[in-house]
Amino acid sequence: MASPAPRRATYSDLLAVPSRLIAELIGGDLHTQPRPGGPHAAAASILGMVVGNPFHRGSGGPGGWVILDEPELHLDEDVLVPDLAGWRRERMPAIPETAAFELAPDWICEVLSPSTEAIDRTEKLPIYAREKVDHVWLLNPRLQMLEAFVLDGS
Amino acid sequence: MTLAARRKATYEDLLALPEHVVGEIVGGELVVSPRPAMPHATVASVLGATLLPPFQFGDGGGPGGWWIFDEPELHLHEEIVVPDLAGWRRERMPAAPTDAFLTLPPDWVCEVLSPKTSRHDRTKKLPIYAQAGVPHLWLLDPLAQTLEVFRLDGGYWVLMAVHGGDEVVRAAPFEAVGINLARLWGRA
Repeated sequence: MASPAPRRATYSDLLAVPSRLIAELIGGDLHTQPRPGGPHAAAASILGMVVGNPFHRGSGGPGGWVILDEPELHLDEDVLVPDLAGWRRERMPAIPETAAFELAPDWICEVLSPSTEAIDRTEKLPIYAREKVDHVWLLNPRLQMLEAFVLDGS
Repeated sequence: MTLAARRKATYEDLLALPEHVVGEIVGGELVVSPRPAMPHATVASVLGATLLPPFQFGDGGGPGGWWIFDEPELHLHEEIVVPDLAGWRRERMPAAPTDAFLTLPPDWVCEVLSPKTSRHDRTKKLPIYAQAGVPHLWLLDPLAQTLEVFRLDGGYWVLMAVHGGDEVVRAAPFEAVGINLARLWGRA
């Protein structure tokens, strides 16, 4: 749960978070959440397989993408960890060695839970738009719903 | 055992429903929802109470020029849908309607989401409103405490902004008045 600090949070604050939590820096605020539980983790994993096999591995599909689980995105001053993200290989020919990804993805999927849905919609969507992520999916396993957004002008 | 062929639902089916439910016909199917419970009802009431004085009555220096109704029954082509709130500019609808339902698509629709209706609202009703050419759509989620503001562009819903928490929001087409979201969530 986010505790808004009197000063802007920094990457050092993020590094100090215990590794059992997922930490993000959003608009100067540090947000932490426990690792996702059952339905959330299952939905993310299965979508990763469903998309990853044809698009990353080229198995039953065209390949041409790098699809990663929970990559740590460093987008200007924000640090975001979407459930899944994908880059077209033309833009990312090789997967970086570092844990931080500064190249904005071509596709992101956020799996919504009650505790994160508001932040996902109010704070993360605008950041992804700012960083020109062309495609964003919001997946809601409880409601069994997928919303697909395309960046306007793309 | 053979399955009986399903016939399309008709307006008579809808009229035959009991009073305490909300009936819609979407894609030929009768969709029945219970009447909204709190906090859904709070949000819809407070939003109506916020918009009516300036936009319907011109109170407090508001621009007027609108009709805004609670749960109007809309007949849009073959679909029968009941948004939580909807508004019409008076240029398009000079007099208050007297019929039980309206066929003129609104200029603005607001759906208040609940866990039971959110998927139906987002996946079934949004395309109906888009097809009918409704230019402005708001989705209010009392549990997430968010307001999503959409504009129709080229047949698609464009998400203009998502506001949350205690923001005071000016959102098209009602940007003339700041809306205190905390009041919608019953927190002020």
